[in-house]
Amino acid sequence: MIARAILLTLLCCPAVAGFDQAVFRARTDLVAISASVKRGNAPVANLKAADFRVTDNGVAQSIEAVTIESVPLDVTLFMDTSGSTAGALDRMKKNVLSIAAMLRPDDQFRLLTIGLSVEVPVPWQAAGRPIALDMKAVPGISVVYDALFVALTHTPAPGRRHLIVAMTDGQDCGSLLDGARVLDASARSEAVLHWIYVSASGEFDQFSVSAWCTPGDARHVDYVAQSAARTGGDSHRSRFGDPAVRTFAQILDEFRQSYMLRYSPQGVTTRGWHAVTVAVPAQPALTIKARSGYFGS
Amino acid sequence: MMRTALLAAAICACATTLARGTRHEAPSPLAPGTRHEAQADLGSILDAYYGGERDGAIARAARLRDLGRLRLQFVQFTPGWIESDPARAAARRAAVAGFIVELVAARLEDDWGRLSDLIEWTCAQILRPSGPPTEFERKWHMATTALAGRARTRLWLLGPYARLPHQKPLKRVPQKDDPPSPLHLMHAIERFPDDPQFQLARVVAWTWGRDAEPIRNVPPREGNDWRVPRPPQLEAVTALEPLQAVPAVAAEAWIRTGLIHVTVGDHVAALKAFEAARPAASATQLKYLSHFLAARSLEWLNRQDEAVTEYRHALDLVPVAESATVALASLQFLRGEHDASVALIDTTFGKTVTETDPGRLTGYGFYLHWPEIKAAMRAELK
Repeated sequence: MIARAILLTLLCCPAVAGFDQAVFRARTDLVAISASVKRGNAPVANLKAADFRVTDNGVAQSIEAVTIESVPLDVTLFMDTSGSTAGALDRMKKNVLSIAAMLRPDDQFRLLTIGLSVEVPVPWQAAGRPIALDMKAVPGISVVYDALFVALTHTPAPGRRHLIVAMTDGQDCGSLLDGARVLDASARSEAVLHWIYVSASGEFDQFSVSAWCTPGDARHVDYVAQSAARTGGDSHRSRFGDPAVRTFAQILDEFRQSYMLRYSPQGVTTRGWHAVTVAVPAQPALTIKARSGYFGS
Repeated sequence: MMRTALLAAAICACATTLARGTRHEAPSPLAPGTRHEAQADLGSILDAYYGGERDGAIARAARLRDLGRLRLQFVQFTPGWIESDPARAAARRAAVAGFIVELVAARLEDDWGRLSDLIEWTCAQILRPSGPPTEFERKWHMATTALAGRARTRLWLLGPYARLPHQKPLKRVPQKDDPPSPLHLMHAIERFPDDPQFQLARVVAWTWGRDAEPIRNVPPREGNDWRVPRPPQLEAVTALEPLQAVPAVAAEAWIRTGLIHVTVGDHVAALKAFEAARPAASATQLKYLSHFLAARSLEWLNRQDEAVTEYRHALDLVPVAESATVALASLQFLRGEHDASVALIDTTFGKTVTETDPGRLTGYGFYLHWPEIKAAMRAELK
């Protein structure tokens, strides 16, 4: 059984740059860090493991590197269907179909939305399968933090990576979890979270049930943006409709061109927070976005 | 009488405006409803509802896109429809009242503001003038109060100068720019002065718009910093205390008391209140809340092991409750119990859920009990 699992994993990761043991998360002590490397706005390709320098709590690590291009993805799309964005519901539905169509046959897709609670109108399914959409807008509440937590907890199967794209205005209202808890979860998640700020402001229906929000809950801390950055993702701004689809396409393209850096931690204690740094020493002008660390257990 | 006439006139005027379009986006081919259905005869829908085809009738009415026409038809047509069979007028009156409440429920999220005045019109024009209060009217008022709870319309229920039962009424002359309010719940209390459910609803509604999101991600107060956007409403505890001794509402009165303590960061008092609710609770929702909310307080008190136990008790009662799932899973995630957290999320979110989640409904008053309230109202339709 284990041999079969390893074989499957090997088959999933054929394009390897700089190492020949493409066993991916087959060992529990293996750390996997997604890293996007760009020069200006252009992803940088063809880097080898030797080009990177990775430190774990300040200790340099021996790494393996693989481009994510070859790795099948689990893609969670989170659409904020609360009152503040519900005016764009029809465009959201079209966006979901367009985005799902961009994925490859070996990718998986799911859709999260929010009503009075976190909802899963499209559970995990193979990309390319027809999507039965049952999306509705529920005004008055906006459990953005809870939805992000649910997204972040997903653990992809060995040999896969998890990309979360959240289309929301980031205005939480009614979550059980606070922003700090989501930020903590983002540090413990293997997913890469990208936030596309979208707003349908001005389209809110004054005849719907009224909002139940407390001003200043987040105390002006931008938890969604911070959570995205902590996972190695980024924040973007767009509009529902074609612009949002284009932004998603750009995120997906760059994610596929990013790198998976893997290592077995050496010279550090196992438990607790591990701060991780990623650099390409020979090209200091490059912009690198990577998970800021992980919790050892 | 004058007030009722004005209300009817306002409905007719609004109907014209609303007839020009009820939604901001162009109709989607995905949206239900056709032109033919929009012109369907309200009479046939009412006949179906009255004849016992309640779900079908409400589904037909809920698909209507032209709310302006519906509103107009409702106020113009229903009095004649009731009187068309004088021997059964009481039953037909109840059917009209039940129908409008169920229709509002079906379109509640989007159209509360477009339909709530029909509820008040029904109350003032159809039910209250019909004679002494009936058991149906009691259940109907429970239903309307529940729907107003989802909309959190304190003003609609209590008016602009709401006072708690133990507080002296304000001797303020109504001003011409006062926001209009039908005082819907106060009329229910006039009709059923001894019903503790309405007394409880009055206190709960009084807290809306004043509370600080009791169950949710409220940041802890810092010392004696009372400079919060909405002041705490400890006065409501005084109004809830007598209700804690009334068996019919004791459990919920304790839970509402605990929620007010949460808003001021007194989690010890809140925990005591949630635990006090437990022996008095008979409804599953209230049992669930007594455990779930106790767990939330225990988390605030940094008693995580006990919180985990309480969350599990809550999930034993409502196994797919998303609120306890998210709360427990996040606590497990925080404690490094990654696999358990992921398994819990996957289990709950991998299922199709049809039950309502009590933990997500505490902020909406009696809407917490909507399925039972609706069933009780229907049972009185004869």
